Amino acid sequence: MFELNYILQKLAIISPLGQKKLNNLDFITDKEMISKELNKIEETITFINSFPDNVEKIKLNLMYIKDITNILERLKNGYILDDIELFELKYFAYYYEKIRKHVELSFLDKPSLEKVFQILDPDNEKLPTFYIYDSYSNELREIRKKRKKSSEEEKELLYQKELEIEEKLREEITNKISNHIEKIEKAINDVSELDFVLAKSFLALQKGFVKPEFSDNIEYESLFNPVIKDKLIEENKDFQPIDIKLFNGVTLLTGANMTGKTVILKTIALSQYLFQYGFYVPAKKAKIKPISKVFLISGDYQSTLNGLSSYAAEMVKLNEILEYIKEKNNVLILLDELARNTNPHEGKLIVKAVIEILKNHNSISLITTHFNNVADENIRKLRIKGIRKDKLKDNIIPENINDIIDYSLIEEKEEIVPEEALTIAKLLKVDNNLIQIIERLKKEENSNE
Amino acid sequence: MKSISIVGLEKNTGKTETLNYVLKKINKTIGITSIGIDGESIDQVTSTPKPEIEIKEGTIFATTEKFYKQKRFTSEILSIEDDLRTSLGRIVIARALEKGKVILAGPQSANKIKILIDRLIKYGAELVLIDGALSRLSPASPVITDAMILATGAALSLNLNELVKKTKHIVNLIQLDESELNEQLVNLEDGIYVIKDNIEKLPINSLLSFDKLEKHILEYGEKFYITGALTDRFIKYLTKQKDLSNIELIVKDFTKIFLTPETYNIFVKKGGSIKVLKKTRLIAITINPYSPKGYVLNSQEIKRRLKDVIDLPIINVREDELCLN
Repeated sequence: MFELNYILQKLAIISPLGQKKLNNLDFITDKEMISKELNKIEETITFINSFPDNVEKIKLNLMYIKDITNILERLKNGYILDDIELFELKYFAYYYEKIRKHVELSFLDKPSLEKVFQILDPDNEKLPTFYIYDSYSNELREIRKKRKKSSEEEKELLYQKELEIEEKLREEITNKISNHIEKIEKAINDVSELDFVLAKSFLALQKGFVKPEFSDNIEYESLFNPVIKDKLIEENKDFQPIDIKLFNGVTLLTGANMTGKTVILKTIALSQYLFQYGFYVPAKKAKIKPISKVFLISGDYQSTLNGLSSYAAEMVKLNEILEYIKEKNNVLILLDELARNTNPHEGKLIVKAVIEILKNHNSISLITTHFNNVADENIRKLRIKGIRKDKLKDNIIPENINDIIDYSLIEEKEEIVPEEALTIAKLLKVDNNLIQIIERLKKEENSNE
Repeated sequence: MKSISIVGLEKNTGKTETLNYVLKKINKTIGITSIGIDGESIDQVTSTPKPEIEIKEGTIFATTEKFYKQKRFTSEILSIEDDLRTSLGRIVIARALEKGKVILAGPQSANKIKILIDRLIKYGAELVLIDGALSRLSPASPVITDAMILATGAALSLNLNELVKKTKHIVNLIQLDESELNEQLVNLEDGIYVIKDNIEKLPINSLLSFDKLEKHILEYGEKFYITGALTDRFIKYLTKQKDLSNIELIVKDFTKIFLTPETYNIFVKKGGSIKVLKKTRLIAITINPYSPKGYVLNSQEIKRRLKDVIDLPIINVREDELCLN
């Protein structure tokens, strides 16, 4: 999903370990597990606000953190580490310790790697550099001293001897470090967790996301689409957030063209994904339930499913949903102008049939449509208010059309499909001749009835 | 002066010996690396043994993981540069704790070499030496360093006249003036541009296809910027004109010029000029009188002949002392 990728790319992840965590993101369906993730963000935001200096130092040192999981694997499998690997381990321990000292978060293990660092720092230099130090062995020290003063031939012999000693020392050092494998593993996990949670928390702070509560329905106050909001901010415009509630069964959403039906569906999908990936969500208040899968059918599939017309592609997608809900409950289904690409008569029947299947299913469905009379009085209906009549006098150009639209939702008893297509075409200054013909035809149609 | 590249005019003109020589003579903490892979103990083209680079205790060197593991002396790892990867692994920066021989291999791209120079300085190098390549194939040009030393010698030509002529020619090219337009030109995408009151791109991408132009190229203008190679064939084509006195060609740097001394001289005599976007200061020329085939030229003679035409210190790396200002 484009919006989701956009948000994930905004994450200020610093280290490759944090990046790995992001790459292995899970869609969590378990309430307790989501709750745990959200609590981590909450605690981290408090930490960011209370100790900004610590956080700056953590971020600075995270820049030096590298992914050493392959070294950990080699340790676990009993390999002797070479100088480069020992260096990387020492380097990791050095910067990890700097991070650890500044962190106060209850969900981290915070194992100490001081012992590991000391093993690799026999001269107590406290620097992140490494070689097989003279002080690891008197024999090595003597040989190196001797080699400096000896002839070329002797040097070669001594060098061979030195290599043997170094190899023995590497084995000893590796063995000593192996006693700390568990701690190293926990430290790696801690750093990836910390980097990732910090990024999620900063995202929530910068974008004004909120911690969602749990509910049996989906309820948002001031839900906004962060992608479009960012774009509007660039143009010095505001995004009008909306309030929406969705319950089990079908909700029908109507609204004139350009009034943001698609945006609502996409935003609800995005927010649900964020929630179940353990993120805060783009709203002032949110009460959500974890669902088993999100389905969103929106837009033209012609390009994505090769060779199929957009109608056929849509049907293939629809079938996927119908197959899925035979087996599983608790799905979020978002359908944007289903069957819009076929003839209105059959299109309408398709929508009616889908509503009939979904209305009694234990899932939440939101369906937008331009068709009239597709649902009986038992189906919940929402309408986007649409064009503000009071603003119609203003000089309208396509760029400021947003100003004359009220995007908020009202619940309707009756099914009202707004007929504002002509109004909007006029606002967009579509060819006058065409408008006049349409108006004439409309009049004729009305007098015939 | 923070960085010097050492460039050989030809394989086996003694570039590595020159490097070893400079390393020995300079009394500063040296940082050293190479553009691309070089310093192999056997030259892969001519199969002649090449002296390995011998570094002093305290030298900060950068090479790939693979070659780091092959070095045979004690050294302390200072850093591993994950973002400067090569086909032979990541770049390791280390300090030599004793003298020893090492194969140097650095990144290939100009940008990465620049980054590496800065990192070597960060880790304590007072002067960075770059084993530079002078080849059509090398994307990184040695002009990225503050100064350059040119290594020439018997490998270039066993004919002393040829050797002097070719060396003088390259020196001329290295010393070409910088264009006053370099800020406007430096970020242009690859292509050929004509410079008048404004800068316009010609509908050809390189000089290989200049004859595909609808008109003679000089009907488009008098001043051209060429991002790619300046070829001998193109200059020969231009020199068919009687007078080239207003013609100016601008190239990125001297490594983009592939002209024989004869073609270049005719072009200049007819009034044409070549400028570069970036030049570097040539500070000395080193000579190696030994050819890979075993011949030896008279080093005193080479020095005298070069001194006649080039106003720079000429150093025989096997005999002379170094004085750099």
